[in-house]
Amino acid sequence: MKNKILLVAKREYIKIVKKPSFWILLFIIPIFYVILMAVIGVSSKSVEENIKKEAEQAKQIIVIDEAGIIDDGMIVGNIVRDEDREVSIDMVKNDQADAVIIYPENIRQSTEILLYAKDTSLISRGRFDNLATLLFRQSIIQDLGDQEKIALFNADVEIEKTFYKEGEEVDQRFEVFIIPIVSILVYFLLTFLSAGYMLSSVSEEKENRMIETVLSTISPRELIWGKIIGLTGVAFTQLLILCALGGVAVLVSENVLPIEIDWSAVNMSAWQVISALFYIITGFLFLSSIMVGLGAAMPRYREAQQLSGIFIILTILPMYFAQVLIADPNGPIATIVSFTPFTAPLILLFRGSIDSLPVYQSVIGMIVAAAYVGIGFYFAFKLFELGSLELSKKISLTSILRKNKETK
Amino acid sequence: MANKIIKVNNFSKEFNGQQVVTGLDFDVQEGEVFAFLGANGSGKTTTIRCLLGILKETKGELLIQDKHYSPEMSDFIGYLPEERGLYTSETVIDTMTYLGELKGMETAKARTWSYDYLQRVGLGDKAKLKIKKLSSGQQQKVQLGITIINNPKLLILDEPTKGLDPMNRTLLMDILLGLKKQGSTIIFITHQMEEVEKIADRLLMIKDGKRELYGNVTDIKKSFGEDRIILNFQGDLPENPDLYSITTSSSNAADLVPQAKVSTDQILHYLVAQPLKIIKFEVALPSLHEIFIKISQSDEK
Repeated sequence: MKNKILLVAKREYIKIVKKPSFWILLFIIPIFYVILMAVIGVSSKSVEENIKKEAEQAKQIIVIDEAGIIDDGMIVGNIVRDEDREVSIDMVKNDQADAVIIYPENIRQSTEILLYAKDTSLISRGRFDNLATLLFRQSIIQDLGDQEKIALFNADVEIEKTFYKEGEEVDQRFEVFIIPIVSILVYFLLTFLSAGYMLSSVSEEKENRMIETVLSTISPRELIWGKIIGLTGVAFTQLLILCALGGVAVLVSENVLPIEIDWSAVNMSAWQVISALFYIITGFLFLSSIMVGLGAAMPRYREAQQLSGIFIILTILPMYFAQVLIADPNGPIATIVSFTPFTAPLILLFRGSIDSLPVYQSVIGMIVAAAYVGIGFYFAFKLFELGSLELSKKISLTSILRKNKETK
Repeated sequence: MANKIIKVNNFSKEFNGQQVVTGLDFDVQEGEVFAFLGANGSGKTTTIRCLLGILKETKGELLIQDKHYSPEMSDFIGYLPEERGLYTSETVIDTMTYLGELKGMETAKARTWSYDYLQRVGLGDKAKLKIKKLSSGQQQKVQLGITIINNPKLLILDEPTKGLDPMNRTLLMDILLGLKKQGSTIIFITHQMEEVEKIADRLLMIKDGKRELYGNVTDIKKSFGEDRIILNFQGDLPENPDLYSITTSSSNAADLVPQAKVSTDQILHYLVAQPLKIIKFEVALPSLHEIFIKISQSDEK
């Protein structure tokens, strides 16, 4: 006799993998991320260049030096001196000059420079800031009269940093961030895509009125486990494809693009690998349990999907305080969110991947994450047993407790 | 005496503290067609769901072949629920094969049977189409196919003719008669009394979760109401309040109801002795429809 759990798993796996949308999403999401990053990088660079260009192409910049601080050597090119504030500001208003920079008489006390300029765009309002402070600072440094010191002052100084952690020198190569970034990307892709498939799978049988026929041949638990195994298979397929895509990306970056990766910086201990896999799997299972419960509790897929948004936000909540977590990965906030539902797997994964998770916290984290999966599935099964046959009404949390004894 | 394939003893079910079924006892014998009747909300579907382990009973015992239901029993059970549907985004053949496999069939056997069935019901060319491309009548045929794919020894049908078009109703009846001939046991919930009169051997009627009628269809009809005589005649029908009362009459037909302790034989002897030509003398039992209405209205009175 065939194992019914495996039958369900096989059906779920084939059903998803043969959908064109599965392949489109799988390839599109990483490509979309790469394109998005490239667009952000290119656009921010082009904004910077535009601002610089606008400043360089200015027809006339008037300097009013009431404090007598600006060195004559600075007044070159399109920069001219004037003394009349009103006339100069009128020139800006009438488009005869681009900006007026005023160094007031009391600048030593106020440390304030006044700037009047044409408004070309919101982002280019700071295009003369650098010039205004540069004129000011360069003029002061000229007073030193020591050309060597002036050259040193203007030089691009490089700082060679060495950090120590627990007596060991910290590896600062950018490659050490490959593992944390990849782990978190994999976590997001696997958990959210697979959880979405779980929700649609549970809702589909309910919405299609197929559930009672299916439940007469298989127990609710077997059905859910079959779905979970099938979707885990889908998740591993995604993982393999992502690894292959990652491999192609590495080959391209090393052979086509001028990027060299120092693989000696990319390393993880066996414990880190095992714990990372554990957190990814528990994260996926916990979110799946939520989706099973939602799919069973809500009469329609659309309603379940809307409600699932709340839980997705709870799961990605750590992204909103990422700076705090990066700045202090062992601090109280990081420790608290390492053990709270929804956030635990992601934070534990992140802290583990940057080697900021003490072993005792890692072990507690594993126990806690497993416990959340257990609790999640306890309620998911209850909701499924109660709600799977309620084809037109929602199941409330109180009814789970009340009806606890009424179902198998 | 036939074996009992289903035994229900002192079964009760509560939802939210509300009693839906109370102390229900019945059994179903192997090879019989058993009708399960009752008004909407009387607890019929709940009883079937508890029997099939989909819901848990509050009290009592529901046994199939002396055992509590387990999903392995679906290998010999065909169940057509009241709320029935299909995987509309999947193909006909894949859906039928999958359900066949869930009922313990080998993939190849489930597939072959499905192709044969689809050919038989005129859907041979639709096997590889997605179910949503089929008309509702064609989808009903697929549902029926899924129900009987495992050649079930026990068939449980919850309002099987609900929503069926006349062609599929005939198809269902043919299937039921075929399975009955093969020795399958059939339990069906219905509101169609004429179907019960046509194919059921025994019936159970529940009201507000309690057993109202249970037993052989003819015995129930006999036990339930007084006999009624349908008479066609030529001549003058005499009145005889000691023997019968006339409920309806025309120039050549009448309905007679015997008085208490008067047999239909006594009335026949009396009428034969009268100057009256008797064309038809039929002793009619009350119909199940009449019995159902009478029971349903008994509380209102």
